[in-house]
Amino acid sequence: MQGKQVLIVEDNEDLALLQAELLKQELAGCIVYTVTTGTQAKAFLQLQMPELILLDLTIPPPDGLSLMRWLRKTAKRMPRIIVTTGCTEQCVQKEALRLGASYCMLKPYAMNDLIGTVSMLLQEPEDTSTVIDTQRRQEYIKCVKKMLGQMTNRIESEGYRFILLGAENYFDFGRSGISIKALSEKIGYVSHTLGSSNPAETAIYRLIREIETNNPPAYQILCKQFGVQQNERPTVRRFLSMLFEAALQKSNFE
Amino acid sequence: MEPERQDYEQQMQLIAAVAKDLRDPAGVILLTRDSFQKSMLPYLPAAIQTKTQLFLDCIQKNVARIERVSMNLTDLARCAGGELRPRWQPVCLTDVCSQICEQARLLRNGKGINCNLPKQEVIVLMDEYFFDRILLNLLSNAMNACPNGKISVDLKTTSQEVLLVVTDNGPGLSSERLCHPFTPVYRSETAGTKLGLHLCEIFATQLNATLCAENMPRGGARFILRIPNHVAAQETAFFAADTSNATQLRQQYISAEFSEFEKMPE
Repeated sequence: MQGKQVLIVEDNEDLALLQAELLKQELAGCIVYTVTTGTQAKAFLQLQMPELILLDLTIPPPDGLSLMRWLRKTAKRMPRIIVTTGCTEQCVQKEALRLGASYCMLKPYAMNDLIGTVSMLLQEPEDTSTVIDTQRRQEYIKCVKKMLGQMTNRIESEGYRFILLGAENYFDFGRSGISIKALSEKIGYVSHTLGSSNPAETAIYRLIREIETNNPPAYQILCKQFGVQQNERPTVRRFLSMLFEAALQKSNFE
Repeated sequence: MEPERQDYEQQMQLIAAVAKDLRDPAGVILLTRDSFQKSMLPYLPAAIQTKTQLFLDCIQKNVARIERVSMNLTDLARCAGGELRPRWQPVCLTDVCSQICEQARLLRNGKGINCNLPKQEVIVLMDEYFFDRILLNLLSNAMNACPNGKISVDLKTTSQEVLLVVTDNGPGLSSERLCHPFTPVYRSETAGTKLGLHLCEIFATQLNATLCAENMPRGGARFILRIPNHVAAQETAFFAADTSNATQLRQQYISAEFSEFEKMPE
């Protein structure tokens, strides 16, 4: 963590101070700055861009979401952002993720959660890809849909819906502006730490197993399409990752 | 707008704001506690360490309790203001039940909670948050009613509906309570406000489901949630799904909801 810069934007001064001390203590070499208002944050970010921002959404104006919108417009490189909020409303959290936050942490959170999340994001390799904007994301999804559409006559319609749902869900992770590679790493982390209770993942897993059991020719086609060996049992994550890879090859994005 | 309605809405907005404001100090307390436990507790004399750990656990438990109260108050205010509406998405109810029961079981050393799930996964169109809150509240209500008794969570499917049944072998509901099982208690000298059960009923209604409570012939209470089966819902609804962050948040709701309960000794 040597030299990595973290900016804490938090209007509760006690919380700001505490978080700063904990980060300095637990992540040796990390440089932590704190500001308490949106205006101060803006002034700071015009001078230097930290690797990570720990951003409270309800700060004196401009608020957290406005600050993120401003960053998206002006920043040459989006820093990683963890938003912290006391607001349980999912639409606010969704909006923060859409604007490029990597994580949304609901207050109050434990020290291990804070340190673990900051540490993980700071250790992620620098993302050189540009932000996947809405249009680009739509094109990705269109591409995946097209590919799957070519296979629909071989896959049960129910399964097709679930795969698309999975693709859509997985792309939601991509809204934070990370590359497909970082995306799959992130999915790996989420699955590893939080268990596999993603309904889309469960549904896709069930679908794959159903296709394998009930329709071996269709399963072989899927395996061939995604380069899976006959004796290999691909996990859902692998399956989707291959799906994305295939979609990327078909398109000329990278 | 009528003045009474305006007053009521303002009161609800105030409740929501207070509930949100509670989270900042709770965050400071929790981080201070964690920091103390990690960096100072190991250096205390052994005799004091055990006692201090008890105090620290007490702080942690009560912060989670503040979080739970804050969550319930926010939900109440948002429901009253018509802001909290179901966001339909396919949810694997077997997974959700299994995860929440597992957490509850941990507190009881694997004893006392039976989770009976169908072999086939049950995936229905549902609001995951609403379902989480209903099951968490019903379970913590049962755990309150019979701290050492048996609790069972049953998920059943029929062609028409999905049934979630939470049963306990505690003392059952009093005759007074049985008449209005989901009405909040504004003055109570014994138990809490029963706001959790009140919210369960609100959430069930929003899900077009029904929730009822009854006493078992051999003692204990049973809560039944009847969910109409939405498996064959419109395809477009499938694409509105967003599960990001949901599991992470659930973990937090679970730990807040079960904060009241001490871990059973080995």
